[in-house]
Amino acid sequence: MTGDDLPNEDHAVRYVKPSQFDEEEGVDGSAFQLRQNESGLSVHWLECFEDLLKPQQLDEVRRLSRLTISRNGRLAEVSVGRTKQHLKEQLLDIRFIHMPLNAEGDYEADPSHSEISGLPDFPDEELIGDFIAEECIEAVHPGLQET
Amino acid sequence: MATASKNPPGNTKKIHQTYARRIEELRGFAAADAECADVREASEADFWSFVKSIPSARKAGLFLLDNGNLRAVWKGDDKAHIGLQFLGDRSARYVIFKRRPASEKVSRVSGIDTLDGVKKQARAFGITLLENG
Repeated sequence: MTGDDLPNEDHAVRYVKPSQFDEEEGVDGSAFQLRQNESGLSVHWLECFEDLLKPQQLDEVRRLSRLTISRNGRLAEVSVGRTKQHLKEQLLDIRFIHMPLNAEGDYEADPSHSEISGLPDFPDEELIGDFIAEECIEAVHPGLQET
Repeated sequence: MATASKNPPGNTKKIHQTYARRIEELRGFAAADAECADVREASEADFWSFVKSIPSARKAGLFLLDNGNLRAVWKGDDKAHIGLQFLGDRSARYVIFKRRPASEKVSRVSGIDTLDGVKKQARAFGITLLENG
């Protein structure tokens, strides 16, 4: 339901643009920074698709995302509970909040859309972004599946 | 997560060629991304000036921010990490992580300093990633 916290045992993925990913070095922390006028970081809640296995959950995220997902981009997976645990010393009020999107124009409804709230903006966003990239990412998946 | 590769003697030219290829790749990504500016000339100039001043450093990961600034990240063993956003005015936003000896604690610091000042900050923090492989 909109505004609910995601369960701590669940997982979310964040789209990482090609410019924020290097095959050897991994995901840059800039992928986990708020942009101007953003109050939360868009992610997708995998277990929202509860009857599916992870590969199919990821396919649903790819299908329903309103971002232009590039073949060179990636989906970075984090655990809700472990990310909050890692960040608790720096960020007291970090939350993963369910924010499903209704169907709009050509877009289908996206029940997995969620936001990470409580992240800092300038001047601490680079430090926290790097921390998440270093400590919290548990898997990196292709942006698009090879066919 | 992979760590930065070491820089054997005589490898500097190869690393710089890798950076040049990566910057061209980043330009291509920017051209296909309406939200991402092209690589800013001033930021790129500062990046090259900086890496040429640290010829024995390991290879960094290189990324492009939406504002067109280059960001380089050096990672080492034991959680050592330095990230630099090249602001294009001979200064950089830095993030430094360093695990304290004989401790599980990782110290973290961030700020803005001149390119020379960043090297001093890293040295003061015990980070050697910019000095040798």
